[in-house]
Amino acid sequence: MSYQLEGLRILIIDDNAHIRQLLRTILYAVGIRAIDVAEDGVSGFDSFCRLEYDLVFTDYEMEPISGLDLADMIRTSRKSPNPYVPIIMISSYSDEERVQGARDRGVTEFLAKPFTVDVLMSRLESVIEEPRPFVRTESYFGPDRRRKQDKRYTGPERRKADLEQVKVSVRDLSEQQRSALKESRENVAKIAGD
Amino acid sequence: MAEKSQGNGAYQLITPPNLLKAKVGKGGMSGIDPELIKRAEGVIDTMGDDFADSVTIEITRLMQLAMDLEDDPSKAEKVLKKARRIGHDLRGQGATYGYDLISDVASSLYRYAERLYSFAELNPDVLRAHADAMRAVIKNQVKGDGGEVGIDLVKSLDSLVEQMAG
Repeated sequence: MSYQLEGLRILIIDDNAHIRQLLRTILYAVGIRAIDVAEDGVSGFDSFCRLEYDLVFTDYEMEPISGLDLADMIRTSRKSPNPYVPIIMISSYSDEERVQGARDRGVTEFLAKPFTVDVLMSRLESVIEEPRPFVRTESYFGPDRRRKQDKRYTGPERRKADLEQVKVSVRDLSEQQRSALKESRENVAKIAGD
Repeated sequence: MAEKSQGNGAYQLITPPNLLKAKVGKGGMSGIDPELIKRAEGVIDTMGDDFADSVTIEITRLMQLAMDLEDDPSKAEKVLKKARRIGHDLRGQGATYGYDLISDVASSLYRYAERLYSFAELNPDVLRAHADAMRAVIKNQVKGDGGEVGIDLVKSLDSLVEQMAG
């Protein structure tokens, strides 16, 4: 017999309405009925504190607080009713550094966008079947990471520094740039059948 | 709850009860019903048309941004932020609906917005090139990677980004 998923209560926090709808549709189709959504981390955390959720999906990049900050709040805030809740972070950024960064903030699983139904289900099965123990240290509380730490980028913030110096103007194109633009147009024409 | 410690500083290892498993797997049940997964995939297929409509809206926005930039280059920062967001959102959705090329083109747009050294370098023609590419994909309902033509399209956009924001 397969899981009985209808008793689960799930919270989806994403500022993209399409992704919220997509996740809700998939989860509903597999039998989950109690699905709440929030469009930012602040209202999401507010919802989280009011009801008992079994699982949280959150986007990575949101304003005014990011998915990472939200994970922090769920894990460490005194208001949090369930610091052990599994958190699945959804993101277009799937490079190792960001995944590790998410784990460092207490995220349970990472779901890279675009995702398929199969992959989403495998994350769901993973949090059900392979829950990791939690670790509490002076600086961390969350699922056991047991992953190698990566070096973080410590270079200058190029664009910010540049903004202060550069006047905005549309610059002239070089021969190579014009050629690249022309080539992309030709390939668009091919796919458009023009 | 179990507790452990290491020589280089104490830490606590906690094994909370598996409430999820207890809730969904009563009586040894395991795995998600394959029939339900199939049903979910079927629903996603039917959402593909809605997705194509939403891409069309984003293409219009992107073209408008290109025009705004041309009309008033001082809007470059706002235009870049919005174009980056369009790239970010669409790259995360296209392949879910079978439109892998939309994800690829949107990734290229996102990369362009991320790699620009200054707002002054933001070029409306690059925004249009990405909008045109997405429009062609949606108009012709090109699913998957689009074969050789699709691969060439993505390569040329990558090369364009390399040239314009390398």
